[in-house]
Amino acid sequence: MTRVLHAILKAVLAALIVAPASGFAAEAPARIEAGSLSSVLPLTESADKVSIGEFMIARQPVTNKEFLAFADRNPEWRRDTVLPLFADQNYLAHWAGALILGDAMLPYQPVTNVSWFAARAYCEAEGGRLPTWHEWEYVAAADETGIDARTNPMWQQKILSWYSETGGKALPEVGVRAPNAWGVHDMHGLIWEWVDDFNALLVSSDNREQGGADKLLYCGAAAATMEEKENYAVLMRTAMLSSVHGRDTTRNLGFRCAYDIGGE
Amino acid sequence: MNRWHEICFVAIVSAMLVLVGAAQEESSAQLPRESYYQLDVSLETHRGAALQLSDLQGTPVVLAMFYASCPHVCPMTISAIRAIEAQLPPEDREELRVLLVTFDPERDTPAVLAELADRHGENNDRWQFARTAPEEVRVVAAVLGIQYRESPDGEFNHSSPILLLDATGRELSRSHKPGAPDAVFAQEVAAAAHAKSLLLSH
Repeated sequence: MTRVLHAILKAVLAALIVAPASGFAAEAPARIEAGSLSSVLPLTESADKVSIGEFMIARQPVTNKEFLAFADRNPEWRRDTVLPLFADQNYLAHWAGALILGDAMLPYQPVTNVSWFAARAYCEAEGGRLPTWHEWEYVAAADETGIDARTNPMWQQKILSWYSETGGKALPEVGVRAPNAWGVHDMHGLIWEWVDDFNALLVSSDNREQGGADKLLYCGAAAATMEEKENYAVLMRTAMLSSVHGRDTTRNLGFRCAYDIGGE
Repeated sequence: MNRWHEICFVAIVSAMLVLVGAAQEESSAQLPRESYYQLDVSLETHRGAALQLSDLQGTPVVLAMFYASCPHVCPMTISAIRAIEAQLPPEDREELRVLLVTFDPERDTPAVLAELADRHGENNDRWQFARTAPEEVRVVAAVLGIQYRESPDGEFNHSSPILLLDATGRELSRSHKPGAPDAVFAQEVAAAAHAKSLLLSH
């Protein structure tokens, strides 16, 4: 009897030790059901909904600690060796050293100052990929209680007030705030995030007509076909992402990975 | 030629060959860090040949992205490059290479690309119409700073810069005017090609 109790106690203790001390430990990605979305960037002017297939997405953005381990395993992504083709001079500049976070950076803050190429390489190494814009937008449409909160003025207001406050302050840690209805944290209110097709966003959906240099530059003016114009909160994301290059890094731009179902 | 001269001759030629070989090896190992040729991507040309970006080093290259079924902008891009080339003296034109990479590798097979090359009268050794693996297109576009997206009808909407790279794959210039004459860009292409042909004739 004592032996059985002892075994149970041991098992409980082991479970306690293994269990994460907080929400920081990487949880399994959230499964996102297939659905459709009235995107701010529709595929064509006539198509009012974009279909989203089932996929999985990380519950939190990638952290400093996780990215440090990646840079350690993959020296070509250290800031002192990365090719300028794939990252600008500010790449990981907020860390104390190539493989040292330093006192100013916390392990569970989201990693920022990472380029699209680096973010993509990280997700590939994890057996995943970056989410597409439409996938990201679909997951980001949820609030704590429903999967599409976009017509809720409170939701919009909350996001917009975050935009107005960023800059200067230290980034909060990931996963601290309540998850949305998909169980995903920090889609808003923490950082900007790379998407796989960031360089597809400023391209208008219908623009084969020619006329004027501006039209030729992008085969048409993208702003003309942005839909859901009342959704400034999300449109600001597309404006930011369409203005950067793959090698660019910024203080507020990080990422999270997505995974194909059955692709692991 | 006596025996001694013969030995000297062979020794000198051998030494030269070794030096040339070393120089070539060095040039591929020492691409500038900002060279586009640092991107490790495999291409397949309109002649069905395998091509690495770094194979293009040694001469200036004019580079753009396109797709074969593109109705308006891409033919203009190709015409613009041909117009720039047409202004060059033949010996300078010989030193220029042109690489066109498709947004649409699924449909733009080597046969389709060869047909396009014929249609433009550029089925030759200097022009390469090429495709990558489908998953590489976005990476190539991102490296070159080109935006594109595929629409449901199979068209591609894209930005249309034409780039000029130096002999080591660094960007010298880019034109954002595929539909209009870009005199500055044309001059830069002419200068790069001429410099290369001068280098060879001296």
